Amino acid sequence: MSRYPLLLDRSTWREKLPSLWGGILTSAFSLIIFGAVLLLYLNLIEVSAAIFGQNQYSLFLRDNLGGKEKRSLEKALRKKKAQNLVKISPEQAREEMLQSFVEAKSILEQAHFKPFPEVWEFSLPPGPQPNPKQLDQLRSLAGVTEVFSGRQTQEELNRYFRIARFVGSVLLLALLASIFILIGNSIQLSIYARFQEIQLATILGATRRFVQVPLLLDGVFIAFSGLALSLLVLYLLYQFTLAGVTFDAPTYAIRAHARFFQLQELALGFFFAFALGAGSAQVAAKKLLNQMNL
Amino acid sequence: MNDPPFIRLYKLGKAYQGKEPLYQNINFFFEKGDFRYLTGASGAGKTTLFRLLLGLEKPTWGEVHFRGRIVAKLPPPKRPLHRRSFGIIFQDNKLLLKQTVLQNIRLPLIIQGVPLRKADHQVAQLAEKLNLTSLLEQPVSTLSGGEQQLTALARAAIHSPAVILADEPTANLDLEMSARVLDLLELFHQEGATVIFATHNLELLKERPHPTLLIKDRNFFEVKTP
Ligand SMILES: Nc1ncnc2c1ncn2[C@@H]1O[C@H](COP(=O)(O)OP(=O)(O)OP(=O)(O)O)[C@@H](O)[C@H]1O
Ligand SMILES: [Mg+2]
Repeated sequence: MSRYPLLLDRSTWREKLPSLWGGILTSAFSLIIFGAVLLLYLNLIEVSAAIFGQNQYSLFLRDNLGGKEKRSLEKALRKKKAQNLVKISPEQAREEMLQSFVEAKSILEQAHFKPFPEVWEFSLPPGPQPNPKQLDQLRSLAGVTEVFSGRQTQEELNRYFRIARFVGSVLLLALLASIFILIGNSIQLSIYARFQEIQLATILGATRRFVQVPLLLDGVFIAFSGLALSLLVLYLLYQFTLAGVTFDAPTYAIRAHARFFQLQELALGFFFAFALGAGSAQVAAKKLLNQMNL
Repeated sequence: MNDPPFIRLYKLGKAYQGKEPLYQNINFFFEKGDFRYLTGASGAGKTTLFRLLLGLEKPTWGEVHFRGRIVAKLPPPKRPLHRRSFGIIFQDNKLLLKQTVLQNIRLPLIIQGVPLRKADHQVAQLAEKLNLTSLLEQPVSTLSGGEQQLTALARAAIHSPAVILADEPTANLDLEMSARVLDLLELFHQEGATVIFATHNLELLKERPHPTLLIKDRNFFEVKTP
């Protein structure tokens, strides 16, 4: 007999854990890559949407713009139904940056920066904008040096996202297939290891189901444990990565909008793990038991 | 309406591929409640007959009927139920050595879906009869040959099967232990089991007469008991 405890004796199932470790670790490894790709993709979408909102505009103002000019500019914007106007003064931008480098604050305070331009951010009501005319109009307002529209950037990014989505999907499918095979392999190994036991059980009148159910449970157990383990690792990696993101102007939004998997997504993940584990165990068991021809 | 015959061999013949036939054109009945020895030279096909009865081998010619059904034609989902009518003492034991005596004996019950507690209770009762109680928690690998044989016997009888197929259960046992095994088989027989007992032991045939079936020259012979 092998060192594997009795497959069919449910009271001893916990003892067979060691025989499942290989499967758990290898699937966890694949799932980590899987999850990392997914997380990266989700975050790219979220963060970019947050940064480059469709109707979001940034006006860069000429240096030393007078109060009167600013007032007439604001009036012009209000006429265009601009909402959520946020004025980021050069000092504010500087202060925000200093805040994010608390440790180096004293050094930075002494340093002289090229002054930041004043930036006004606002959104326009949703509609078929921005059209080039809209942008031109904004650009032609007195005191404006440059205009950025979120949608321009978003559309630019979307092109890359489409490529990333395609590459990502192929990669994810390949990973899923590999996990399917990995779990199937573990199950086959445990069938080989318990060959005598399975054979004996069949001679003594065990049904197919009786032999297969513990194998299915093994598959589900491997998938669940692998998923749990990979989520743990991913969460640590996520926190670690986030801690490495500085709080300065260009990356500020990443901190604010980055996210881990949400509860429903996790539930969905475990549901798929269940299907994957049971499915691959079923396929592997069926194939092998048919070969054994009992 | 007549009951169908219990076990019927109909024009049965078996030849393994590329080998001489073991037997051919055998017609024979085992009645319910029989106790029969099955004897014949080594390689005559005793174990093969058991495998044919269980549906683990297919006849080359003819048919094996059990309670009116052709064993080889049972669809896969019906085979487990068929096999549960049998209790088997394998020539090579087929005990799970790492498992305890209890785990081995209760296996047929677990397979049949008997709840664990009930199964253990049944095992305890049978173990009492076989004087195995003190060994129940011991791994089979630590048992003596005789104790292992008793364990195998208990596993074959635990689910009160209609037929007990005993394949050389007394080989390697001393006289006293052989007698004990036989006593127990006779006990199960009295409780209603049909017993087919494959053996080489001619002493046994003399001391404990039962109808004997001899496999010889590709044929089955009923041997008169002395
Ligand atoms: N799967 C198989 N393939 C080929 N030959 C087989 C197979 N199984 C059994 N045999 C052969 O069939 C013959 C009968 O085997 P069997 O085990 O039935 O003999 P037996 O009467 O039980 O012998 P013994 O008294 O030694 O146990 C043997 O010669 C054996 O080699
Ligand atoms: Mg034999």
